[in-house]
Amino acid sequence: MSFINNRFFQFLCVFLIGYSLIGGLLVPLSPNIEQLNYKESETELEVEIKTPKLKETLSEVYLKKVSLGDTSTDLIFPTKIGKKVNGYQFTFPHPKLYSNFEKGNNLDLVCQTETWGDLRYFSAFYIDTVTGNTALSHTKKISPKEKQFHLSFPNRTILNETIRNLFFHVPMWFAMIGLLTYSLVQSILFLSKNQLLSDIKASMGARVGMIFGILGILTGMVWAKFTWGAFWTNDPKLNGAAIGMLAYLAYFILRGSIEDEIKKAKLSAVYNIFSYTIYMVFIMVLPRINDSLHPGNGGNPGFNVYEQDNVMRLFFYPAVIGWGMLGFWLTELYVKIHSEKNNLN
Amino acid sequence: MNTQGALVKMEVKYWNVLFWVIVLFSTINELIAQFSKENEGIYLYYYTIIRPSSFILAKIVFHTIYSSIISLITFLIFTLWFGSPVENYSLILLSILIGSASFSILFTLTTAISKGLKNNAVLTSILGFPLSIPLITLVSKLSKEAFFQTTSDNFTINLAILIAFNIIMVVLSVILYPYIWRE
Repeated sequence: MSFINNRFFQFLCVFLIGYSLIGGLLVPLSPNIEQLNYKESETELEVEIKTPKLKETLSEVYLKKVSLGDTSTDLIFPTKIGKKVNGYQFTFPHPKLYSNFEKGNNLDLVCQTETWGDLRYFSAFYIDTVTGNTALSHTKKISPKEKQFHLSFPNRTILNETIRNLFFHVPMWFAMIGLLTYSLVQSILFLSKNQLLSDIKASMGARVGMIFGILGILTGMVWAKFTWGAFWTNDPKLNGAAIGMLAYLAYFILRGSIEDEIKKAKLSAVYNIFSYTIYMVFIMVLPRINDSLHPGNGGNPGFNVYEQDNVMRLFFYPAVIGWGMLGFWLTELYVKIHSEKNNLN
Repeated sequence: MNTQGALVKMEVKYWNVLFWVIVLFSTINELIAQFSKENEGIYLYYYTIIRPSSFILAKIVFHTIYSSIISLITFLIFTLWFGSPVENYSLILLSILIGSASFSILFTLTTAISKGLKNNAVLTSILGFPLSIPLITLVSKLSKEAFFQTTSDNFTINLAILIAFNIIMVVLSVILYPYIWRE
């Protein structure tokens, strides 16, 4: 891979990583409902929300039943809206008075704004009793508002500022999988062509891949602490990643325990192919079948939900490409050092 | 649900895990013992008369049968001493067969890799252990189904994953073994 020694490649790599670092850390989050308190009486529901970053006024506020189809009729509008410091206060008629709502329904609180689109507090309320049988009647027709373009990241409940970790955690795994695949290809090449250079490339690819894997686990642990509540959860993807790391450590132990170069190359190539295949099954297939907390696994929505807006993509793709390039650059450097050492010997 | 045995009262969860850990270790020991019994001369003899793929396949089949028998004996001893929580005996037999087959396939390849190196017993375990942990979790999930009369929804999918896993491992062994055959 001679193109890695090209100055342009190296500048591009540094530029992309720097761009995604600076952009990922400095671009502000868009405003959202950050806190919600409520008081209920027999007939009314008083809701207080905090939206400290929101400068403009709300155009529409309603409670919406969470369901799959179009439920523009299952809305409740407030009878009173009051402005507070850093937020608003609404008074809704109590949802349990209406026959549209059944026991077990979840309600989203939606605040519409002109420039930021729909601000949603997902599953703000849960209906546990039903008393009335008055159906709702509406004269207003509400359609969801699209967000206008702003240089800001989506602000989600629970995720909050940690959404920026997307630019660090995910590229690490992409880079690791890319490097391990490179290592696999070199192992297969060694077995078919018997060139020792392929063996060096394979082992260095695995080594740099492991560095990225460890970084991926560390960034993931920080993220897990602030969203799921613990540094390590019993998630199939986490356990799969840890086990895969152990498998690659075993690969390095195997390499360390053989003196003869050809024998070392052959045996470790075979083990590399074997463990790569099983590792990929662990982290790609099993979490999709079993329950997992990760987005896109175990029936969870994919991460597209979080990067609906193009601003995330503007930094996510450069980050992935940049970190991947850095991985291959490092591998190339390691390979150079090792083949020089071999030449000296 | 507790199970009352001759020696102790043990929770089903621990019964299950303990059983599979013992099966894993007995499989490893059995494999290392089998491989170390054979000397270099007999390998040279095999080398002249058969293809490597048939050699590794024969090894896998032999070890699968051997370790299945050992696991069944383990199961009997477990039933005798710790009591048996099993409700569905055909299922536990199935999971014992598949479980010992997957352990033997995995460790046959790792023993083949570390054969002829110094410290080969240690290396076999080091190479095989990381990959055997998920196998243990899958197999214990499968055998847990045997403790109830009805199977859960995940049963078929777990079974399918394990069988697919075994097929992948056998195919990889057959493809890769010829390259390390001479070492």
